[in-house]
Amino acid sequence: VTTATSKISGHGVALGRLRGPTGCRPGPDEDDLTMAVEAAQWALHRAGSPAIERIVAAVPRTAVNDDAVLVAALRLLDDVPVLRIDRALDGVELAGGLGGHTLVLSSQAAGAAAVVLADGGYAEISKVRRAVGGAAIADGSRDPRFARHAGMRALARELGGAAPTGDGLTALAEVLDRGDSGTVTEGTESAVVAVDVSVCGPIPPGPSRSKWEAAAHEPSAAEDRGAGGSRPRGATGVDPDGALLWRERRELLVPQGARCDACGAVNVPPAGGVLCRRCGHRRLELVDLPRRGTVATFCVSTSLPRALPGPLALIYADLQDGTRWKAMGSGIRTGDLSIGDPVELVLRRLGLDDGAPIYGLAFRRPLA
Amino acid sequence: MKSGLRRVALVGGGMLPFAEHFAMGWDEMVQRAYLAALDGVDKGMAPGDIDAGVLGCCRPGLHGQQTQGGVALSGTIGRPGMPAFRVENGCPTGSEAVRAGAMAVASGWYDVVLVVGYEKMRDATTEGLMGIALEGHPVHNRGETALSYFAPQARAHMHAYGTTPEQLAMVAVKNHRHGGHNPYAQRGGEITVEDVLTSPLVCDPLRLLDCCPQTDGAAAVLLVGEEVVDRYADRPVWLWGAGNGTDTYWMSEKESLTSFVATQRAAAAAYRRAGIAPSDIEAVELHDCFTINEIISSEDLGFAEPGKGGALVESGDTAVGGRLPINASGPPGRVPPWSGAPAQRGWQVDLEQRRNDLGSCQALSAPRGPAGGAAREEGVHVPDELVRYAIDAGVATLTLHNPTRKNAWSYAMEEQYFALLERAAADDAVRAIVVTGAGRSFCPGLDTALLAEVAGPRGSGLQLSGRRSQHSALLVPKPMVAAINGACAGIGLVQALVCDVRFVARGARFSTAYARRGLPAEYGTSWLLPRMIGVERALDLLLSARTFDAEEAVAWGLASRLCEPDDVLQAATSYARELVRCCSPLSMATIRRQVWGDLSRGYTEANAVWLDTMRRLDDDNPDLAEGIASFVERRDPRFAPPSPGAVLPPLPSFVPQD
Repeated sequence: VTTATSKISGHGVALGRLRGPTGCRPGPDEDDLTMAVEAAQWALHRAGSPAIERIVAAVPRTAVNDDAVLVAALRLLDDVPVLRIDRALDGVELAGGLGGHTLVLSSQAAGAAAVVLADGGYAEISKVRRAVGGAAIADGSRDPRFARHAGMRALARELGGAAPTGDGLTALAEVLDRGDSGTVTEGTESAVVAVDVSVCGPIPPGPSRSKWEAAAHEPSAAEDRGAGGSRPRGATGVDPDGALLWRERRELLVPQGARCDACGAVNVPPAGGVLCRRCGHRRLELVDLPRRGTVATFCVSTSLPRALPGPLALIYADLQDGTRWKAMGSGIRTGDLSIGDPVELVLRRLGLDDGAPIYGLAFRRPLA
Repeated sequence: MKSGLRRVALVGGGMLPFAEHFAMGWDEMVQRAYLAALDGVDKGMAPGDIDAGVLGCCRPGLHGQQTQGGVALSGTIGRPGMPAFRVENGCPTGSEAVRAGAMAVASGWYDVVLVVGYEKMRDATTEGLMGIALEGHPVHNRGETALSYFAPQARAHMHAYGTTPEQLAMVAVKNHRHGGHNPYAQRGGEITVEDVLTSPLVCDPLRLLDCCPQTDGAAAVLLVGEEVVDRYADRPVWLWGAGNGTDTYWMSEKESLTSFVATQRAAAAAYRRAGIAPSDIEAVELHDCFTINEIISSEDLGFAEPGKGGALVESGDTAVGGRLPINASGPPGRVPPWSGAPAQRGWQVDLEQRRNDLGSCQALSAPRGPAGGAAREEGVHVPDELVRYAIDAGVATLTLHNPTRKNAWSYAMEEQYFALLERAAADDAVRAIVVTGAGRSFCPGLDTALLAEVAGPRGSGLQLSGRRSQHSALLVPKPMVAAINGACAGIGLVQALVCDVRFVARGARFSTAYARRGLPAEYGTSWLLPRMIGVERALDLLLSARTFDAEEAVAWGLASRLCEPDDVLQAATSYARELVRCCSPLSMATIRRQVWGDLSRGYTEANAVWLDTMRRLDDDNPDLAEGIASFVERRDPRFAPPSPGAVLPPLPSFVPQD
């Protein structure tokens, strides 16, 4: 049993956008990475967007470049390292030991959670403890084959916490959402880690698990076809090894434009911009754009290539700074949307090419 | 056309029906369209006469030919080696090919240019056609199809203006009905608004019957310069104007989601080049790949106020038989969303209609006046231009223009002439009018071909009903100056006499002509001539119908200025400009009416008219103040156009009063 203390200055959760028989699940344009990014955005937002020094991620690998996608999509500095771990609560301990500002992420099929560990904050990690059951299994007193999770439950009991139900970081976030104190656990038959957390200050607003559950919707037939969020096979037209994806990597992942020094027009997309497309001026400044906006107009296509199952909304929205942005909709179908409705840009998996996911921005309705 | 450019005529055209031509390759389609065009030339054309070719095709990749250059035309029609190039410009590819060919001819680079447009879409599977949804920018282009360019604009138009799905459906219903009469249309027949509204949603808010199907099509036209037109055509179709306009590259950057700014720009350029206004157009062929296009385009082309395109189709005005038939050739059915051939279809069908070659189309199309024309997104095209119209520095110049007939008068010319006079009368930018003839003739009278018809075995007699009064010119509230550059006789002399001031070219010859044709003194000449030159001289000219020359005309007071032939138009124009620069438009309008009216009034009556006019003007006459101020300040006056409500003195009773 080890002990470490640190402060939590932000937390967030994100769930898949589809309703399933056992809770939320990702849509065909979502995966562990996109959900982790959404959870992290809420955690960073609550923490006041501190300068993150490292990411500790218990997130399944989705792509060969997923570290770079994660860092870029969160608008972190390019040299922020991503440490990959198996159990998210290990990351909490690790972060406490390393000090400074750490973003800890976890993602599982159903959803994702994130916390920002930093000085100050509204909650405190008082203890991190471990119980290891390897000896009992080795001496035959416990047989994991016949008593599923019995060992894990026993280990958790030793640590004074409830049996782990899955991802420890999600459990931790739920405690924080309740404004509560408690012990959360995460583990396997042979090893369990427990974290004692207590709230010590006002929690900034953000969507709780129930908000995400309420926002989830029944899958369409096309969305239902891909089990577990995998898109139907078929090229999306983007070569994962091609220069285009590399050249446009940043503008695919974060809302950015090139603002003209002379006429003020924001060029979207900004790539290819040595001249203002509107006035021809040669000085442009790359600017981050707000994610939220209102619908200017849209359509919903049902007649599409196999790689893009419909219904697929294409949305023109005026972002809060007035820039008009066009992108696909995520989970929006005929009858769902009207001109003037609010929407927000989120990271989505646009498709798979040769098994490699292509990530980019899409519009969805904001969480209520 | 811009000065320095020569006129361009269409002398032949041909097309294939829009259909799924599974049995035909793209090359056969090109060949057949070409042959149809060649066969359609009035006097025939040898293949070797064609100087160059322009091929329009937007997406050759659909039939597996990613790099389709000009050789796909020259090397397919048996003319390897002929200069040729391909034009691709999105939806207006076909029209752009015609424009490119027209520019090549107008510039004098080539005399005869073949333009072929084709699109072979049905060699691709639907999945293949949808491939554009996977091209381009992964965020900003992903998911785009032809529909997704137009459906969001349909929604924006409905949201902003209350355009209804029913109005969209009416476009489809109308154009399907039109297509039923056109053997070249892919779809046609009677459908109902309900059929459209219950067809499946393809791209919300557009439904299946709002959309064109994928198609194969090809069309060809032959363009020639005016110097060689006589070799090929008895009845050439003249290209009056064309324009090209563009919008922003990304749709998200468009200034307007409820209009096609590119169309507005192209139309403005085409109208400007043709010297006409939207109100002059009598029939329209426009790109209607989806129903919303016709509604928005009808606004952008100037036929309806912004937002009123839906009401326009609902009014029935755009149906055949209505005020302004749009797409008399058929339904949105036959036009693919990008189009080499389809846009050319507009040119071709139009050509056919004008030449009365296409029975069913012609039968269906609305009666067209000679000043008729057709506009499309990127072109305006009007038939035989018998009177040219130009405005410069406040002076409108009307040039009688039928050089092959020495500008002889015809009913068509008459219609155009008086329509243009009306236009000049209504345009505040015009303050004086010059009338002249093209070439070395002013107007030698009624066309002899028409005279022969009038007098033939089944002589129809002179047509008088349904025509305007030859004194309509007296209604124009602006001074009219005649530049009589050559032969001036019969009805041509009448037009010259109702001008206010006449400049004549040395060598110009005149005749009243009537007595030698068995006619009475026509159109008021028996009243007018004695008042101008005295009873005896008037009787001399009318009884003898002898020819007299410019010198005699000036000596007798029939004209006031004698000029060298090359100077006559310049002199008349300078005089008209002087009127524009120095004289109150209201004064000139009033004086013109006073003098012409007083010719049939006694002194007392004329005085009463003057006093009445003065009294009216006393109330509010800014021109008086400006006239005096400019005189005192020794500067040019700045007179405003007369207010629309200005009351002018009455004209003689024989002039139809407005």
